[in-house]
Amino acid sequence: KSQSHCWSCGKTAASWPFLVCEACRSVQPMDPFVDYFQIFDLDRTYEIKDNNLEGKYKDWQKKLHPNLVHSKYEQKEKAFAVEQSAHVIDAYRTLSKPLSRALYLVILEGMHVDEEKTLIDPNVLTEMMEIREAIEEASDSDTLKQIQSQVQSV
Amino acid sequence: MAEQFYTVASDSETSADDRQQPSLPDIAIGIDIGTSQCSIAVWNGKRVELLRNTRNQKLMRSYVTFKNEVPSGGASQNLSHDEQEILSGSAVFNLKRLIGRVDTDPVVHASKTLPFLIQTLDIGDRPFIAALVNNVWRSTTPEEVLAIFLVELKKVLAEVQLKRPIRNVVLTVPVSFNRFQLTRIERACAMAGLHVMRLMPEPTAVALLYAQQQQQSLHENMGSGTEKVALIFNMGAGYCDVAVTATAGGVSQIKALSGSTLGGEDILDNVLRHLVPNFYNLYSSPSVDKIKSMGLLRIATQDAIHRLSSEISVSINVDAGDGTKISRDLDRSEFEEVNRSVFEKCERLVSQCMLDAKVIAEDITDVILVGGCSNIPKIKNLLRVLCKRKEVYQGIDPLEAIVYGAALEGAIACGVNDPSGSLDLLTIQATPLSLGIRADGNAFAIIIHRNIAIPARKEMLFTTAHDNQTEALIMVYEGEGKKVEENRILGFFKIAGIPPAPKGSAEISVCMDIDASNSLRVFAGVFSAGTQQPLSPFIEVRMPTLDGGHEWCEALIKKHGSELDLATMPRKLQP
Repeated sequence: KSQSHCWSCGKTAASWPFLVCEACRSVQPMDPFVDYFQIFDLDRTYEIKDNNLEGKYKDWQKKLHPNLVHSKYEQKEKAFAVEQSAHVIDAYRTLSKPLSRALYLVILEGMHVDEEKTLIDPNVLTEMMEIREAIEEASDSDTLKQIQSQVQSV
Repeated sequence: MAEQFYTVASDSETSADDRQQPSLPDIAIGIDIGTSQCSIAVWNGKRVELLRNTRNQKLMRSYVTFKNEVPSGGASQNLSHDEQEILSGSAVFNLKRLIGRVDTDPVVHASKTLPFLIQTLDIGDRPFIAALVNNVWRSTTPEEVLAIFLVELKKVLAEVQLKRPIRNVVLTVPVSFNRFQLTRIERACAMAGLHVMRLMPEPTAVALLYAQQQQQSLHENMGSGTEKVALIFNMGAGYCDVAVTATAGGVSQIKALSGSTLGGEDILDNVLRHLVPNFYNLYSSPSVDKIKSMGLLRIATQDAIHRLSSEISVSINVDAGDGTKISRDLDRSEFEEVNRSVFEKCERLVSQCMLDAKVIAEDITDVILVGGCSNIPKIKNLLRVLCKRKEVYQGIDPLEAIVYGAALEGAIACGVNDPSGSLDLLTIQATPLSLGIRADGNAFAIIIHRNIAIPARKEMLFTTAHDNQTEALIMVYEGEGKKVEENRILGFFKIAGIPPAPKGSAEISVCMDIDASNSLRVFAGVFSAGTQQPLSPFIEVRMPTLDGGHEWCEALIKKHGSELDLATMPRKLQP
């Protein structure tokens, strides 16, 4: 379902998700099939047991960050690194907060739900998206508290 | 050393062996250009070393003197100019407060009491700056002054001492610098023959040094590898910056940044106006005979402020020679009262940064104070109170930490490997200012919020403001104001070929992309309704493209009114 050979040295991927080649350390192109939970080797559930998300995130960045790419084909690999690094940043930000983690799960499951023609209320999804946006835009603690009380009253 | 050989990326196959031998470029040097002082450092193969000038100084006064035919920087002179000579009109300094600013900027107006010529016409153009040479005001620009100074640092200092050509630099910059100011710094570097590998916000350079120290103490003590959160407060002569960093495993993640044009110069200005109430009237855009008097007042007051860091009360006795005399005592509480607004602003910057980083005092492992103003007892005290602790971090030299971090980043950016692992470090930067476009009239629609980790890429949908509108203007701004006119314009371009339709139905996508070297690209175009498929090729623009300020927008509005306006899409339709 996804590529399994390193673009740089040609070796077969030793593990999955294949973000970095274990043999030559080259950053691989983005694989759209890798979701945020897979990046952090977590089960796709709301209750994540791992409390070392930050550590794993930083380990990934040390392997993926474009500022650390110094290869012969620097420009090409840097382009991959920019994408991968930004993807891992998004993954970390989404999974580290309970609300955004829940929303992400809904979106992931929603994609499956569509395929299997099960019902999910699109209004709930929209509402949750709006709450997420509002939280991201909140600039002070008062606004955050207000959103919190709104969410709890639902 | 031979000229570095560069190849364009190729798609040909490579082997793992090729990767083991990256062609090592000359290691980038770190430069901290301060408003008042500068320093330069380099990774020497084992550790970071600060370079000294012929007067054995590691910290050098930042100024350029125009006394002779050829202007020269002050860093490498065999004979030091004394401060009075620097203030004689022939030298230009404080250029970090002037670079990339227009003549309507309050900071430029406040600088008019400096002893060289700053003229403003208040039209949004750059100010006219000149130094006194043989009784003639010779014009220059902040970029030129910075370039002259950088050439001096490069040729006379670094290349002589390191015995190799220097091309690559990591330069530190204030957090509050906008993208336009950053391009001015890059231009000055290009004029000086230097290639900027990174422009690092000053406190993030300190964060990198802190990350290295935490890694080393981890190796030595076998301590726990838990994450450490540090608040870094940096205040020099020109700028005040705050950063919150979360460090683990040598990776420093910048959680939040805040900053302002606020520093020792403002404190000096406040005290001068306090001691000489009509100071601004007497000395702004000074005549030649007033310059010497002003210089004497500045030196005496500066000295008093320095002494107040260790003494409770100091006496000031100075005769400016033009009828102005100061002969009195100044005590610490009076000094603190005079600068109350400065200290309050510092508090706000710290609180804002903690709020943005979503940390409270109890989350912070270490509080790090750097910069010349970090010596001021009131500053130390307010940080201790805000962060609820008795002592601040002691393991860092407050005047050398920034350049040290810049040199570390220089080595890392060049791919230098240290067997002991002391360069096994990474900084994940955050955007200090929000980025967005003009929409819904004059509102600022933010696409990338401040303090988002980079690299980052965010997309937002907009729509037309009028029925059958076929063209729209994408006006890109940077800042925190709710209205665009409170922010800095970076550039604009037009999207054409929108299919005629009722207002609010077209889907115009605007995507912003910041790569790891902090360069910004904006992509925009029209989607075929509901499909996320481009109707025609998108437009990609590297920002900033503009030199001027908000005056351009006024010209655009005068010409086109609201006919090219955009509106934001309702949230539920956003991708």
